[in-house]
Order: sequence, then C-alpha cells, then structure tokens
Amino acid sequence: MGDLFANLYFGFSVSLAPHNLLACFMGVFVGTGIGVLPGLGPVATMSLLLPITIKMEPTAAIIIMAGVFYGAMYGGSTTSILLNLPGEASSVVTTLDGYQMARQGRAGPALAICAWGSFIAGTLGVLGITLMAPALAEMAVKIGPPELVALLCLSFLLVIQFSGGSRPRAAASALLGFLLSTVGLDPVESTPRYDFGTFTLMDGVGFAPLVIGLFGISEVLINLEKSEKMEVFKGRIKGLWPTRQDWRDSAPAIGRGSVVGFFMGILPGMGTIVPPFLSYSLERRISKKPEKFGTGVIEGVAGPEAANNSATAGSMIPLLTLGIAPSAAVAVLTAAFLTHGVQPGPLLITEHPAIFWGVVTSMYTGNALLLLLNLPLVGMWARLLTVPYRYLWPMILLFCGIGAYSVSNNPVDVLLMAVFGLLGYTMRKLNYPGAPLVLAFVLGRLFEEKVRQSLVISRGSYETFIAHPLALLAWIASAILLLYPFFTRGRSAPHFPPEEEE
Amino acid sequence: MRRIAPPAALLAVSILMGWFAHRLGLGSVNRPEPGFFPFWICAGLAATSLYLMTRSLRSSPEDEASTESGAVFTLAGYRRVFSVMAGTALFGLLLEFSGFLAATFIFMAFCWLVIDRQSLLRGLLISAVASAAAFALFVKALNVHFPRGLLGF
Repeated sequence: MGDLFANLYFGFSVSLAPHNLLACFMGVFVGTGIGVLPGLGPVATMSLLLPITIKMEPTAAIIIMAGVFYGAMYGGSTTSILLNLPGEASSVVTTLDGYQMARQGRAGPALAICAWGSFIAGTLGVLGITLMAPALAEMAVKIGPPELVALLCLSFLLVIQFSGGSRPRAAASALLGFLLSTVGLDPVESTPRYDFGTFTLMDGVGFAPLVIGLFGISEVLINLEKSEKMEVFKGRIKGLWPTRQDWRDSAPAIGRGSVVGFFMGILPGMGTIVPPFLSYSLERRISKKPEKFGTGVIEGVAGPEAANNSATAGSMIPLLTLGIAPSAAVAVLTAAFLTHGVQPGPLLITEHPAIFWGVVTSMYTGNALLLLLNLPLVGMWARLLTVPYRYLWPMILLFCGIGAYSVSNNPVDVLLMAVFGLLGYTMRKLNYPGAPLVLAFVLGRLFEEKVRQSLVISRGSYETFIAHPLALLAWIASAILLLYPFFTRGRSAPHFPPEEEE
Repeated sequence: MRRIAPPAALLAVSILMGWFAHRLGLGSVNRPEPGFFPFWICAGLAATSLYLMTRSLRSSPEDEASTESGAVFTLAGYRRVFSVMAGTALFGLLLEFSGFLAATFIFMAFCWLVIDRQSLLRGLLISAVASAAAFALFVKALNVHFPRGLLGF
C-alpha cells in the first residue's frame, strides 16, 4: 500500500507539471467539444491529434490523447439530452430518459447528474486502474508468445462478437485489417510484402490515413446525407445542482453503472458502447417502476453515463498491462505510444514509470477538470450545437487531410486517406463494422510475430499453443464464443449501435 | 446483385492477395516464411466471403431489406461522395505544388462553392477566413511543417 501511495505521489508530480496539466486541459476540452458536436468521434479526433503530438514529450502526448477519449464521453451526453441525438454512440441510451427530462424542464438536473455521475464513475474507474494495473502487469510479464497468441485470438473473437450486427461481416472486416497489417516489411525477415514497388507502401499502410479515412471521412460522408435539421433545446438550462431526491435516486445507479462499465470495459470488443446498454437494462430490471423508464427517470441517465465513463478507464487496463487494445479508440492510443517509441504492455510500468503513473494520475485531474468544464460552461457547449453542419464539414475534412499528411509529410497519405474514406463509407453503408478492422490492423503485426515465434521455438508443434494453462483457458473461452451462436440460434442477438463513432 | 457484390469483391481481393502471398513463399510450419501469415489470412477471408455469398444467395430480398440499410446508394449520394473524394485528393496533390495556404483555400472554396453550393461571395469569404485560421493554427501556432510550394508560403 505504501508503494501505491508513493507511486501515486510520483504520478501526480508528473501529471501536475504545468505542461502536462495544460495537455490534460487541452485533451478534455477538445474531447468535450467533439463529444458535443455530432459528426466527429474521438477515434478520428485522436488520429488527427497524432501528428500534432509527435513533437510533444511522450507523457504530455499520451495525456492529451487520453483526455480526448474520456472527455468525449462527457460531451456526448450534452447532445443526447439537449438534442435527442447522441454526440457519441456511447450516449445513445442517454437520449431515452435525458431528452424526456429536458422536455419536462429538467435539462439542468439531467446534465448535472451526467456530469457528476461521469465524474464519480471516471474517478472510481481510475482508482480501479491504480489498484489492478500494477498487479496485472506483474502477471503479464510471465506471458510468453503462445499465451499472447491465444489471448489475442480471444480478443479478436470478442471484438467480432460484440461489434454490433452480423458476425461474419465483422470477421471479414477483421481479416481485412490483418491483411492490411501485412503490407510493408515483414516483421521477422524484413522482406517487402505487397509494396508493388513503391516506397510509400514499403513502410506499410499508415495508421493515421487508415483511421482518419475509415472514421473521419466516412463520418462526414454519412452526415452529408442526413438532410434533417437539428432541433436544439431552446429553454433556459436551470437547476444545475440535483435535488436531494435526485441524488437519492441516482447514487445507487451511478455505483452499479461504475462497476458494470469498468469490468465490461476491460473485455475486448465491449468498448464504451455496450456497457451503457447493460447498465440501462440492469437499472430497469431492478427498478420498482420499470414502466417509467423512457419517460424521464434520472436513474436511466445516471447509470449509463457512469457506465460509459468507467468503461474508458477499464479499457485502459488491457493496453497498460498487456499491450492489447480492446477498442478502436484505445487502438489509436496504442499508436500514440508506438509513435513515441514506447511499447505499451507489462514492461511499461517498470521501463517508463513516469508515463504510466503520469497518465493514470492525469485521469484523476482530467475528471475534475471535466466537472468544471461541463457544469458551469454547459451553456457554451449548448451554443456550439447551433453552428450549422454545412459550415463544419469542410473544416473537418481539412483537419483530416492535415492529420493524414503531417505524420510523415507525404501527400500520398492524403490520397490513401481518401481511399480509406471511401472504403469506410461503403463498409458503413453495407453494415460492415470498422472497429474489428482497426483493431486487427493495429495488433496484426504483433499477432503475426508471436505466431511465427511460437512455431519456430516449438519447431512447428501446434501443441505449444495449448501447453500453457492460460493459453488453454483462452482457447476454451474462444471455442465457447465460436459455438455460442449455434446454441442461441433463433433468439435475436442484442443490437448495439456500430462502434464507428466510439 | 447488390447483395452478392461486397463478398464477391472480398473474395477477389483474397484470391489476388493470396496468390501474391504464395509467390512470397510460405515456408514450413517450423520455419514460416513472409507469405505464410498473409496466405492463411487470405484463406480465412476467402472462406468468410464464400459464406457471406452463400448466405446472401439464400436470403430473400425482404431479409436483405431488414438487415441492410435500405436504399444503400443513390445517384446524388455517389455524386457527393466522389466530389468529396476528388476534393480531398486535389488537396493532397496541390499541397506539394502550391503550398499549404493556397491548397487549403482552393480546397475550402471547392467544398463550399462546388459541393455545398454557397453563393460565390460568401463561399470565397469563408474559404479565405478558414484558410487563414488554419494557417495561423497549424503553421504558426503548432509549427506543423508543410511544403511552401511555388508561392513560397
């Protein structure tokens, strides 16, 4: 315990340094902004920030990116409540009761409980990271290539299972991501693959053009098709302090939502979208007045909002301890670590303690800053919603182009981004989820390297993959996941919104 | 046709890339070569595409309407998509040649005047303001390096 406090003290000494504090503020400010504005999700925004943060010191760069990620969860709820349109896919459930509360003149308490619930859940989630991550990282050091292969397979299957929509399409998307990850020099022998004689492709497909195209450009194209005008809540937002009754109704929901969100966030594929749905159905199931859900009950806002915020903290655990990204947004964070020459995973805590503890403690500070940003300044964020989309989309496209270009100062990357934008748009139109593609792309090289290492070390014996108890457990879980659809045939699968906007 | 086209395209990609992977050399299980991993990924993609094709052929058009997003592509949609793609590609090509500021202005004007059909004066005005703001933010404040181009800025 003494060690923990010493580590936290060290972390705060890093994260409260003026430049890191400024980075944290910038991250949560931008995150809230893009969360409020429908049309640019945290995945695309973090990818856009990737080239800008290259020149920054690694800790500040990761702090700013993480700030965008969890800041967007706060901002997303504002749009859900005032506009009946989720700013982020993770805030879809908040529209059900949040907008009804706004219509009844209770937009203030709804926004306030969102902010407080997010703050409490976010802080509890970070406390969970603080307590669990060091122990898990210690265990993860002992994981060899065959166990990692099994865990990665399980992660991919979970992502396919929970990405929303058809599983075969999600599998095709993931396989396409793997295939794209093989472009460039092979990770073991450095033989060029699929470069077609070009220098650009010899370096592999760039992460920024891929993600910005797949999420940013396709989002603009989809939004341009929507002709409906957004109806912004016009009433005055008052009562930004929940009543004692509001607190009594919301507190248990916030507690349950925090726990559900944190543990679901750890699982690959859940992202920040599934936990709010689970929290909402849990609240409705245990409520004494389930029929009231959907008419403006505060528990229906508090639980899901707590869940999506603690899920962001939970999803950091696989990244910080195993180097595995459980969602598309965390995959961008992985890219940020790698861009700065830092390998996320079990050795992060010992090799780069300043980054690990600095980022973890910045999340405490970030949650406090978000509370200040979201409560007194809620009127400013609401006014942002009145900016017509026709003035925003060319700017978003320009930022996308700048983001794609400035990673390696190569105009070909802008063209590649346009191609991936077209691919992303087509995939969304045809209901092929993008998140499995991005995750497979990011983890593909690691997966290939570990598969080949395992085969070489075991001299071609496939038994090596099941020789270790952890690997065996992961394979059993994978088999259950694969067979699950056969046992549930005929029952409709739960439908979650696609992960694109996560 | 619409139902079968996407998995058929994926199948074609997997066959083509699988062939390239095979040419790279698969090696053996105890010594996998550079083509080993992509080849098996292509095999998996081909199998998934075939499954999706079979499922599409078996399902009725009503099933399709319930599983896919209704009217998928429209002519107006195509025009808009390809205009945006053309504009973005134009920005990429112009960056090296004309420099950041001019490329940004042309790109913004293209978006607002050609795609969004704003009035000429308003389109040019907001393009100029947006380009100047982007230049101030990215080049001056964030110090991102862009080509200077023929105009020198």
